[in-house]
Amino acid sequence: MRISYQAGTIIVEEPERIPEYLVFDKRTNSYRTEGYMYAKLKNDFPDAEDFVFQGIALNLRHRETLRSYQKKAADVWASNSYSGVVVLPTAAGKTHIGIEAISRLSTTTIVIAPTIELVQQWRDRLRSAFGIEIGQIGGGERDIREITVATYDSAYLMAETLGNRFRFLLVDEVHHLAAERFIEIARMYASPYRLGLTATYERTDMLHERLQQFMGGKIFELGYEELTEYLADYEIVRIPVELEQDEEEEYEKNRRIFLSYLRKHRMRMRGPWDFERFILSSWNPEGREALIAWRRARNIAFNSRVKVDTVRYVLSRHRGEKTIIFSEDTDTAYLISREFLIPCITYLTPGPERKEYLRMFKDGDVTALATSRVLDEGVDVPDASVGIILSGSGSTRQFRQRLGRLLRPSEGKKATLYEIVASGTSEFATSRRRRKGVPGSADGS
Amino acid sequence: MFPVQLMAVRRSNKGILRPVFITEENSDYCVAVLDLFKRSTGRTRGEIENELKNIELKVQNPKILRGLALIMFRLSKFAPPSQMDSVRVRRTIFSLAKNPAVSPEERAEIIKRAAVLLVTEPQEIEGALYGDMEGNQILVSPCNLDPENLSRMFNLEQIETVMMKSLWVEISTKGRMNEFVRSLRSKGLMYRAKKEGDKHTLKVDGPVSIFEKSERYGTRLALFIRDVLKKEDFEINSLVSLKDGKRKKEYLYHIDDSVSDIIYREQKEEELPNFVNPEPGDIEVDGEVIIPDYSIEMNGTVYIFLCSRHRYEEDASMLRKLLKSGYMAELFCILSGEEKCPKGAMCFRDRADWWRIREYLQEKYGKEKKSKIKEDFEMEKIPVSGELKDRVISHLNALYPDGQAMIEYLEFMGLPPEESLRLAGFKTTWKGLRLVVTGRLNEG
Repeated sequence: MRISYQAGTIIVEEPERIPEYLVFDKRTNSYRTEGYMYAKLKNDFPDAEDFVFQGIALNLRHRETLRSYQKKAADVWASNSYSGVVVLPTAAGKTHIGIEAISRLSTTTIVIAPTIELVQQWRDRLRSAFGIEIGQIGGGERDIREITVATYDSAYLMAETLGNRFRFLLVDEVHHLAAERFIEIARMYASPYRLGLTATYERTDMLHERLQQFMGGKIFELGYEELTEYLADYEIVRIPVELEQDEEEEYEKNRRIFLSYLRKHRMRMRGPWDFERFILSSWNPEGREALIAWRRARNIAFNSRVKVDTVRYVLSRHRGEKTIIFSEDTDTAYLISREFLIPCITYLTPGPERKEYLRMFKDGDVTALATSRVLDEGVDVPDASVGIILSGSGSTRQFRQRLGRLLRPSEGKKATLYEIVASGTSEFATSRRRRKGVPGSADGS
Repeated sequence: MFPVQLMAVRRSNKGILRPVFITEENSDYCVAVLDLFKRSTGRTRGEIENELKNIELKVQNPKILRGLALIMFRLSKFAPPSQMDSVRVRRTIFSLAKNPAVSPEERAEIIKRAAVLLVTEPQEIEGALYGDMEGNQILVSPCNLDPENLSRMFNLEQIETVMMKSLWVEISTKGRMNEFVRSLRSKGLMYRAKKEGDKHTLKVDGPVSIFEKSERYGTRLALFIRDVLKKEDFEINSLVSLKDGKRKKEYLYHIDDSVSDIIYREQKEEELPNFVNPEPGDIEVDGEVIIPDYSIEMNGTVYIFLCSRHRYEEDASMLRKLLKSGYMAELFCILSGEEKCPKGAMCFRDRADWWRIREYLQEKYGKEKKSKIKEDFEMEKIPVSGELKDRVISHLNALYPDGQAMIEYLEFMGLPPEESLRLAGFKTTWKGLRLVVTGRLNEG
């Protein structure tokens, strides 16, 4: 019996017996199973001639000091056949657990993260922890090494060729992996060892249930309340702002066009699914008009002149403190960048510039950064203490992630997250939705 | 192909998807878009897009307008508004502004200092700050297409866009299938062939398709269909997965060669030496039809298969079955980029060298009789453990110290590099995933 890897699947030639997970493929007259079944296959057929992975053992040691809960998380994962998902709040040091896991296995490893910033951050951390060169796939690079970091997109697109290169699959922000497209990474990679890290395991679409099968499910979880001694103190301040009269009139006019279209077509906006339905139905002149009106109204609420002036006020008040300004769309991020002459990081920013701006921010060469959604997750700037949400979605996950950017502890730090919300617009309800369940929220002006 | 939101189709309740094409009757869409671009020279892309939004409100199907404009955006020439390097301008400004410029005076001062450093005017700095963004690019010369060709391009891209959401595609033709099979195999796709009278049918999908309905092969199916559409005789059926509210719904889609007159077709003939037959007949093994890529006559027909790196294991398995059934067949792996040759494979980089293949076949099959082939195959399965032929060692010596070339040569010869190098008297070591030649065994 011979097993080999083929484009996300394992081909089994001349099997001794046929377990139910082996499928006979008439296209090639051979038996086949999915990549993730490799561990089971090895367990069921230990004597099979194995051509799936190349035998490379590494010797990786690090000098990081683990907190007690980090060590416990790594122990629980190891005792679960080196498989499972660890759930900890943002800023609780999930990367340390990842480094410990890589060290314990000392084998070929791919670390998958959702954004280029996170990929670069993992690369830097692993390089300094293990003192070796780390490969990178994504963000214009294709450098494959024993330990490699990759974006979700690259890991997905290259699953056919990368699926048997790495015995250990470490997935950061693993809740993304459950999405329809990305779950194929988990299915196609043959890696027998798997670790997922996240602060927000549960998804509203319930797709996280798939992670049980492909990543070993949730095996360890701690909340904010259990880790207060390790996180920075914080407060959340909501600043309501009034639109200027001409803005308000324009907002109302466009909002009416949008709402009358919804009423006419008996549509309701209860969540992203309904909005998607609206977009799909808008490919006719009347629908286009409604969509354009919705965009204009949203634009007014997001980019009102008074909001920009409020940002000016907050920046003056916290002059010299490291500040991240979050917006929902790239236009707003560039508007803020132009207005205050601060670097801007969006999905359009080329890799080298992203890296340079983050370095400038970390080193204190600049004290403020404007960004759209790309810095929502994982980016680690320990001394960032002020966040300004200029616009955002109603997602609690996004809100917690943005808050998490400010919670890395440092000496005497008290973080403040400001939300600037346009009164009398739908933004107010959106803000209420996203703050639900997050302790420390307060309205003020 | 277009982004999926620009797919223009009609969905029926019975699960049928019908394409929306531009023909003479609705060619006014093309005229409107061409006119917009013709009178927009000197305007930014953002401004053109804004005007497009206004035109959208006046037409019956805004998707068609968007699709046509996208083709024009791709083919027209745009230039940045400033000659200055925007990245350099940003770097200069941000290095001057440690803290945000919260007052207009502070802002003006930083811009002024940047202008001095970059030897230009403040106004130029403002223009160049984000001058490299797509929306700020200025239309220099619109693509010179006529309405007919623009509509043909649109129709082709519409078909490809549907294919991009396909779970599988079925192609039927009365002609030979070899070219189709070569195209699909080179894209990592798989097929099952059927023959009914003079009609050949291929059902095409990808490796994981037998486990789940995967959309990951959509782009490759679309590229494959582009090759099919260049031919004269075809019928295409596919199963397309599209969002329908919260759920996905599957639709059947059908087109045939009657679309040939309304789509853009670029003909490109493959150049082959005349000893290579691009249309060998089918082979049947265990009741399944296998369509070889090529064949070369060499004391009988030798079937040639070409595969990409990540298909090698699978095709090698198929080849073993062919050889066991008594066929003469060879498999060559075409590597791209920095891919390494798989163990035991014969590899070429980027493209097959047919003259080298013929030399190899002459050596292997030229003087031998077909009956010996099975015996040789059994011998090839035995790993190299004894002696290497003198000519291999001599060639390795000639290549030394170019370790990479030595390894590639051994891989081409189908010999395991690590063991063969040791037998030939060389020292090796593994550096990560790479085998490296470090010296000769008899050196210190």
